[in-house]
Amino acid sequence: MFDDRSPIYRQIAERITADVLNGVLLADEQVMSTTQYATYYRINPATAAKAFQQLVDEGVLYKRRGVGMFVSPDAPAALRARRRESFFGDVVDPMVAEARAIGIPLGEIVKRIEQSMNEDVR
Amino acid sequence: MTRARVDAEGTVPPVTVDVEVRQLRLSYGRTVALDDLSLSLPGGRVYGLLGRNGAGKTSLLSVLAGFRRASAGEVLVSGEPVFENSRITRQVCLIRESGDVGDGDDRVKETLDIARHLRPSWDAEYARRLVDRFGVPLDRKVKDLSRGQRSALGIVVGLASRTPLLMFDEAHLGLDAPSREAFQEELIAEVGASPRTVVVSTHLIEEQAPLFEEVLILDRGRLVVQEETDTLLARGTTVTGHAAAVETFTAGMTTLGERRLGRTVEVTVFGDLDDADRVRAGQAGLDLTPMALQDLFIHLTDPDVHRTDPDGGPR
Amino acid sequence: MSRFRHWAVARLLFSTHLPFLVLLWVPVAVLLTAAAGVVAVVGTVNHSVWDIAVPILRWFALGYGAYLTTRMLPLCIAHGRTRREFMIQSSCFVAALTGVLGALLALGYLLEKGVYGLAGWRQQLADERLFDAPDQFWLIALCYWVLLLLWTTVGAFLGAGFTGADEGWGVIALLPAVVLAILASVATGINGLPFVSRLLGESSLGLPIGMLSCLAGYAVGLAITWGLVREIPVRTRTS
Repeated sequence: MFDDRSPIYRQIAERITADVLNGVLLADEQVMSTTQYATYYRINPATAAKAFQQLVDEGVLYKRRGVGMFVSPDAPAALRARRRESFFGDVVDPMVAEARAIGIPLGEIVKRIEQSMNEDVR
Repeated sequence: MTRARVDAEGTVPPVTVDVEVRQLRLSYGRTVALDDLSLSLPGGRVYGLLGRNGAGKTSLLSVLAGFRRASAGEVLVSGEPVFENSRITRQVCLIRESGDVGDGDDRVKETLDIARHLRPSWDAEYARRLVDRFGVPLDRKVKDLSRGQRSALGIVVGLASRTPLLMFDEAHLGLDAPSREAFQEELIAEVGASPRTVVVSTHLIEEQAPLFEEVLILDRGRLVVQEETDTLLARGTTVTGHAAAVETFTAGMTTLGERRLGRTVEVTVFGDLDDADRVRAGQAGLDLTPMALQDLFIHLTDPDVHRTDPDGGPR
Repeated sequence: MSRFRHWAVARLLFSTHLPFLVLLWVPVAVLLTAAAGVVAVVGTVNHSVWDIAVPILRWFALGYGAYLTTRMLPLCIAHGRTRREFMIQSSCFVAALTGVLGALLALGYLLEKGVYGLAGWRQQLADERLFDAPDQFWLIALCYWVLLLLWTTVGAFLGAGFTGADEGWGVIALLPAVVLAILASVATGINGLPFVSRLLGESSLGLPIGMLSCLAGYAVGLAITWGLVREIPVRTRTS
């Protein structure tokens, strides 16, 4: 269920983040409890709690004492902005490096991108 | 970082019991099962106890539960000695694979009834639900149960005892996969509802590892590792690549094992790698992969590896 | 309810073992009456069948004592009870249990007297008994009480001796076991070991000395049991 590359709590945090980005979780919506997450993924509740804590620190979730965790109202926008910032570093730069390594001219990549732009228009 | 756990939902966790073991020694006649073992388990966490057969897991748990008296050293739960201390033993439950809680000719429901009599914290209603969930036939004699059903009965007794210190020693033996999942779910629900100190010894390392906050590895009666599961996992790395490059890269590191396939070498190193190391590996064309807990465990308890010095080449 | 929590072991034994063991008395009584009937058909009844048969129960007591220390004790420890709790509470239970059984056995003599009287059979008791008439209810009950009490205790420490940390103690415990078992038989005259009666003759201790030495023997038996049980491990069972 989980890959071995990063701690489980971080993978859960990433999954919740993805849900917020995709609109599966809406602003000010309550998230499932740590125990529910823990039971679902069959992990220690403390691990789930750690993921939640990380998301609170990042401002994605906020805590209502005695009620539970909720999605921050500005989280979807903030996350999208953050993703946009890191997009070129995370996605484009490695793609360019890979293309260079295996000998694909950058012009071809640009052509491919223009192609999909045209498809979008149609 | 403070050890006290604050629930993400902001609820205040109830008081939990700590375990403290100092210079514990346990011998059976001339055989030494545990030797100069010291460890401390802060309350409210789930611990995984790993070790090869005969490493002393059952011995340690038996002493923690007051099943045996330590030959030397101290065993404290909530700061008090365990052995023959009824105030403590009633807060402790150990379920061993051998099934101490059910007698051959007793029926399952009689076994549960005995537990109800003897355990002040027994939750009969929960026991009923668990028996249902695990499909243990109430009217059958314990000796007529299948291996898996007997293990399930042990798990039912352990969970329904609802003690602050709960220990399972290979309690899942013979359980089928769905029942093992059910066991995990129940355990998670239990510690989620109210933090408990739980120790689980197991050989099914990969399957159970996500449950453990901390991992303890015993080897030949001694504690080899006690570490948070995430931290421990981050420490084991497999370096794969061209023999010469791997040798240069791993020089000075603690290596746990080595495998060769032609010119390709795979070396396991133990210790934190920083970003500079990762960059260096990338430049040398080496592949770094995190180790699974099971592989890490195998290497850390390998009787041959301990004798090699970190810088030593192939033996 | 929490007031009785400290006596959980005793409560368990009283609520499950006592009724079971007491109810065993009914089939035994019916069976022995039937046996007497069979004897009457074949020949003539000129001995108390009850008096011949029930002394065998001390072997049952021996087995029950061993069961207590080899099975019940580990079970109690596994459920968070201490050896001390078990020792104190099970001893009280055994004293009460054997008392009840002694009374039931004495009652058996009385009932048999009634049945034999109606049938016109002769209810002859064995010569060596400390009691000599079936209607000496209290004396008979007392005799069976100390007999079963001692034999249960012997069974308990033998069981603990042979399953404890060191089986060697079991062998050593055989000596006091034999002494206490013979003491009980000699003192009460309830004797199934022919060579012993030939060796020691009929019950020669008399009532006061016999009973006092049995109680002293019981104290010794308890001390031996505690010595063997106080650090007994719960073994890993291989099954």
